[in-house]
Amino acid sequence: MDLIPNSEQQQIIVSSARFLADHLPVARLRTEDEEAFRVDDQTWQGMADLGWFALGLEEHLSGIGYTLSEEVLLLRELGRQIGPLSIMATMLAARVAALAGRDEIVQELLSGAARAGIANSVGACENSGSTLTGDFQLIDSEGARYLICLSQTRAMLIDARALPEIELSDCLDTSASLRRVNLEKVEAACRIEGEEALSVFRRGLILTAAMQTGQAMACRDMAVEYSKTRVQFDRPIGFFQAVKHRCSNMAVRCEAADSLTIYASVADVGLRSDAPLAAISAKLIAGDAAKNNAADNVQIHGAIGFTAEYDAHFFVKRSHVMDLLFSPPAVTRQLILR
Amino acid sequence: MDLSYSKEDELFREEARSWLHANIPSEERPEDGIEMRHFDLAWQSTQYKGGWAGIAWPEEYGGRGLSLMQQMIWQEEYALAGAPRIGSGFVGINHAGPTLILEGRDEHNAYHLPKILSGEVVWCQGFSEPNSGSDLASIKCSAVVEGDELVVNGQKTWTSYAQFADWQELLVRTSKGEKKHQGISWVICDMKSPGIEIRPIKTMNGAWHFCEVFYDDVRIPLKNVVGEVDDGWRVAMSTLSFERGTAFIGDQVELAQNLEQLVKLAHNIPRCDGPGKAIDDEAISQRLAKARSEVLALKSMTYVTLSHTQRNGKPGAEGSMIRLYLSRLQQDVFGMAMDILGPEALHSSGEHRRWIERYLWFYSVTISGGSSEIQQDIIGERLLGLPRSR
Repeated sequence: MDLIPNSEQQQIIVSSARFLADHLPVARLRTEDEEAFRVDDQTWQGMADLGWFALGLEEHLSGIGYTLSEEVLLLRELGRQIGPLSIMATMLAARVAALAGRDEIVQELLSGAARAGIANSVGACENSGSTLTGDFQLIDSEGARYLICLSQTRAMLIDARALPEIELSDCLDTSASLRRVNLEKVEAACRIEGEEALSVFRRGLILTAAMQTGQAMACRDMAVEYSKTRVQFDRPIGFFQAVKHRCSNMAVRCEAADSLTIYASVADVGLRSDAPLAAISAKLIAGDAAKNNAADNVQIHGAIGFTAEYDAHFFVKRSHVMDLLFSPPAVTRQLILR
Repeated sequence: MDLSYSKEDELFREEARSWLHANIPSEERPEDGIEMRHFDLAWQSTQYKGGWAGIAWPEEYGGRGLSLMQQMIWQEEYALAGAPRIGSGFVGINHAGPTLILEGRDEHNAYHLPKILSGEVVWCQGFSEPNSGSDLASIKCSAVVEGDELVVNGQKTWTSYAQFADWQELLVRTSKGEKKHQGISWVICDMKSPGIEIRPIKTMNGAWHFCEVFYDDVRIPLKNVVGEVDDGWRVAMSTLSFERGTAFIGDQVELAQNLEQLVKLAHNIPRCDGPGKAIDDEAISQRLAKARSEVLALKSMTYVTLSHTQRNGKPGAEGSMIRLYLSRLQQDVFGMAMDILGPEALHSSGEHRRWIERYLWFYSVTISGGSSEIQQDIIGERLLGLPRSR
């Protein structure tokens, strides 16, 4: 039993953190540009060339052959920078296509030629057959060839070209594009069902939790750094227990979210009996950490935290998007008690 | 990263499980009184004879000297099997014994360690004083050297099981140092010494759990000082870090079991505000779901900390995070039990009395052994590097 990343995994953390700091830092969002969610082709190709989309895919499915745990470590770094959700969507889409035996789609996604976004169900959606019907929010569908739609019983890819033109909505989180759509019997490009669909659904939860953990960690680090340098009453504010204890609580939330997400990924890889509970729990615990740490970070920064020019609000806004992905909190809690 | 165990560890788990299954006392552990002392010592003696005493202690002192992983496995199996709480054996096995192992002289160790392991004696801890709680280093209970003796005068308080104890690990002020951490000594005190008066204090859960202890010219041989005179703070701290290793695994397993019992209870007990069962109350089911996730988070945090300890040899300050998380969760779970019980929560000796008694007991866990606020200071200062408040 050992839950500490080994040296190869450390390498993945360091190199992905470096790439993201260079190409997709959270500072990219400090812009009046209304399309800050766009990721240029060169950056996308860079990630494909680094093998990010193939990272956790098994070799017999044309992947690199690492596991969910390595994907978790990468997405944790992505969460720290409020990275594009299309990255996680593309990883999951490649898996769905591979399990459905659609090698040409897998190649498109792994090579960087095609991107994926998320069709996140709003309320109940019809969950069987080869077509998709219901209300959806399309997240990061801008520039995406495919959209993934995950549920416990069916995972499918939709070809975005099969959809009518849909206007962009303003998204609370400016790092993501958003469209509202009602779909009526849209034919899937490919789909999987049963145990395979359930396992991809769980993977989606764990990867979401990984990004949420990264967000919570970034907020903790910002708050702690500020508490060491901001001086009031002639002392760094971190001297005062009201601030110090808020920071401690942020650290504890990170520890819980991170430990559980890693545990969930290892349990999933090892097919342990508590893997289903761990996956769904990780999303709840990491979601709480992302939301509460984002709020505490604003509070510790005071008025600066409330401004649009500072990064704190991006973490607040992203935490709400993550909360709704794949299973909103009420559904998450039901699944835990089942 | 992996969650599997070596073949050797799996075998060890089997061995532990079957021994526990065959040897756990069938009668319930008395929660109070001299019967509790007899019970705790008898169970310790059973473990000793079975070769399971002192699993974390080095072999040269009669322990098992098990690896960290095997200690964890033992604690897990111990709790899963529903073995009796360590109770009045806690200070001897988890505090005084380990301190002697690290700091004691050969003659101390040869005399005391076998008696602790074999379940012959109960130890208690004389640390807190009426004016020295969180600020432990400010203790005033004084000890003056007279020839080859220390003469102790003063008071200790919140001393668990003092009324049943044979020995005490006692912190006294032997001199006024430049800083308050200096001038403290760690002494082995015979609780039968003339001049000691013990007054038990009733706690809010109705138990006589701890005591005030008064010292009036109590004479203790100078050779009972462990470490050097005036160096007791360092000695005391070495014990505290020992406790932060695998000590919470049992609590964590027990809490997981309690929560599952509570989910069952919520399915059976009527909701207090209408037809149906407590579980049908949305507010209750949400809290139960959250607690179930948190119990698993706690387990994973423990495994992560253990993984760190395995690599670095020593537990880090992450132990404070686990403590804080565990104690808050214990209070949440038992607070929830009260809400699930609804009107039944008022019948303190009815069929649900155990939930109510435990609910009251868990008020202590965010206070004892370093309050939550102290844990938050430790996390902020030692882990996050924020400026020290003290």
